Amino acid sequence: MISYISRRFGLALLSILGASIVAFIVFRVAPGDPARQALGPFASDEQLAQFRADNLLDQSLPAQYWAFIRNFFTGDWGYSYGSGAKVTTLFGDTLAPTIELAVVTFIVTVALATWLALVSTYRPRRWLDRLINALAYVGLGAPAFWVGLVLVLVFSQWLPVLPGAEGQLDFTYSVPTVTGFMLVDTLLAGDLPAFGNAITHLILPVATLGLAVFAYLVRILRASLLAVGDQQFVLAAEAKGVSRWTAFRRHALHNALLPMLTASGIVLGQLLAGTVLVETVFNWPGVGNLLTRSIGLKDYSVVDVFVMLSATAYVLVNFIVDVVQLRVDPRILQEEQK
Amino acid sequence: MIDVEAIHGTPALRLQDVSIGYSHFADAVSSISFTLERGRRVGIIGESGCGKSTLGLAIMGLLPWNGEVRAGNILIDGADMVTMRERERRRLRGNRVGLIYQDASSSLDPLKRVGTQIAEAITAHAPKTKQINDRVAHALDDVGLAAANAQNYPHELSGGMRQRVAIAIALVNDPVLVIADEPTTALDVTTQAHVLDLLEARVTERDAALLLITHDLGVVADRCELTGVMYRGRLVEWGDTSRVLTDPEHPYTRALVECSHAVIDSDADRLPTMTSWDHDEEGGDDAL
Repeated sequence: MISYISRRFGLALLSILGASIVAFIVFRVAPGDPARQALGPFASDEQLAQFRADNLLDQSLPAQYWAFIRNFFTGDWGYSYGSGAKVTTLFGDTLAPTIELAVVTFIVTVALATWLALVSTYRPRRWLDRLINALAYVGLGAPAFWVGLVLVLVFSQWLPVLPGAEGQLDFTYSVPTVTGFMLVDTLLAGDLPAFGNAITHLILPVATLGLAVFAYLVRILRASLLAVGDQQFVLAAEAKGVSRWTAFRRHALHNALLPMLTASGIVLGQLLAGTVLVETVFNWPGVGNLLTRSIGLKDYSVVDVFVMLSATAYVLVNFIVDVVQLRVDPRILQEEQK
Repeated sequence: MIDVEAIHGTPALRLQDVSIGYSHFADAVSSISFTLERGRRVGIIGESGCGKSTLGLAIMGLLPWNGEVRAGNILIDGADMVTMRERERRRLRGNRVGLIYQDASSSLDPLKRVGTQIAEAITAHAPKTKQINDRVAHALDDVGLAAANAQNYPHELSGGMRQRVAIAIALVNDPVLVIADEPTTALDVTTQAHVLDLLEARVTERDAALLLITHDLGVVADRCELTGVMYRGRLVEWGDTSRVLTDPEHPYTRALVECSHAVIDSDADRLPTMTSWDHDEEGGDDAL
């Protein structure tokens, strides 16, 4: 058990390192001069050379990478080339809104997908099958930013029931920032109307981000449940006298959970790593906006850190999934020991 | 007229003209009737697809969604499974009637501990049972397993042990009727004999009725006092096992018995086969 987990952890660390190396090289090989981008067209050659020397850009790639890794782990993330702001501050302000959006989307879609997959498979229901299939096609086919625009148009413009591209909270509310997570901060401030307002601001972005995720998860879980539901142990559970629903929930769902878990891990990783376009549509103060700006400016200091952070989030989530799978399926350990 | 029920009590199982079918197809089981008293053992034999497993599922009220009992009554301990509500059926399942289904390696949930799966059968009918662990330990002991086996997952047990667990689950609420559908096909011959001995002993102990569904004539000959033979959805033979084996009425039974003799004698070059026999010759059947 311990050896299994430590092996997985080692693999996780290696993948983070690999991802950061690849991103580091690719971003530097791509054309464009960060010094010129930062200092503008009228900067002199001396100024450019000085900028490169200050930011170690005149050194070899391995030396630059080594310096980056050392600084990353010591917490010295440097300054943005473009704005001159501390990178730690930039991420400190923008990470929380992104994580909040990603995690709320994740919880809502996983719960909804699980419930719908169960309801639509434990007994054959053709109309529900068709509805879910239709929703899944739309979800997988339509680009998220377009879905976002349509939702804003319908629910914020035509029927003005929900806030559209207005960020996390109406300007009329003012809540002190403690954690950066708006739902948590409003509750900490004891301001229930603001909490409600924060929720209404989450609805459309969550629906936009969640549609594709929901479509993906519900299809995986449904396929898995349909396969498991025919197995004898579900029938055997019914033969004990429990209802079909209970037999399905207890036995089929548990057995269908493994592919769902893996898929959930991938999805949560993706949500954390990038909700860029959706953030733009809803004017969400997350890392998406910061990142698009920084890539345009070839702002290495910001992008490198972002790659490192998102790779860590992605790998960490999947590492957690590996550990949770051990709890779900005791046979994995036995397979490993063979 | 002699009142049979007054002498034997309510029969564990009584089928009256039961017909079962799937979707819009012809009957898979047609007008079967028989009565099984408590404490008796009947073997239902027949080839694959003759409807014997469908019959077992119908008695449990667990036909697949496209299957239905089209006519007749299935009385378990006097209560009609066909007409009662699903909620009442659930109260009988696993309680008054237990099912042991084919291969225990697939009828146990691979992700749940054995003890949990036995406990599920108890709490399904008595949710507030106290000392559930003691009951589980007792149930395991009853089938010759250790109380510690409750902590095992199915994949940690042998095939024979798994089938013992399945028997423990079927018997834990002391049912009046046990249906065993090919309970030993996945086991080797020695284990098969042990498991069947155990099943027979535990069922007899409880004065329950046993309905053993199998294609193995030898198993029925050894262990069941009654034999029913199913052929193409019909019960073509019913009676004391000794009579059915020595003096079969139906050509199919005759062929079946000859087959097993041929194996034992082994002086025949080839096994005898059914050449042709049709229900129509005895009058009336759905087109198959």
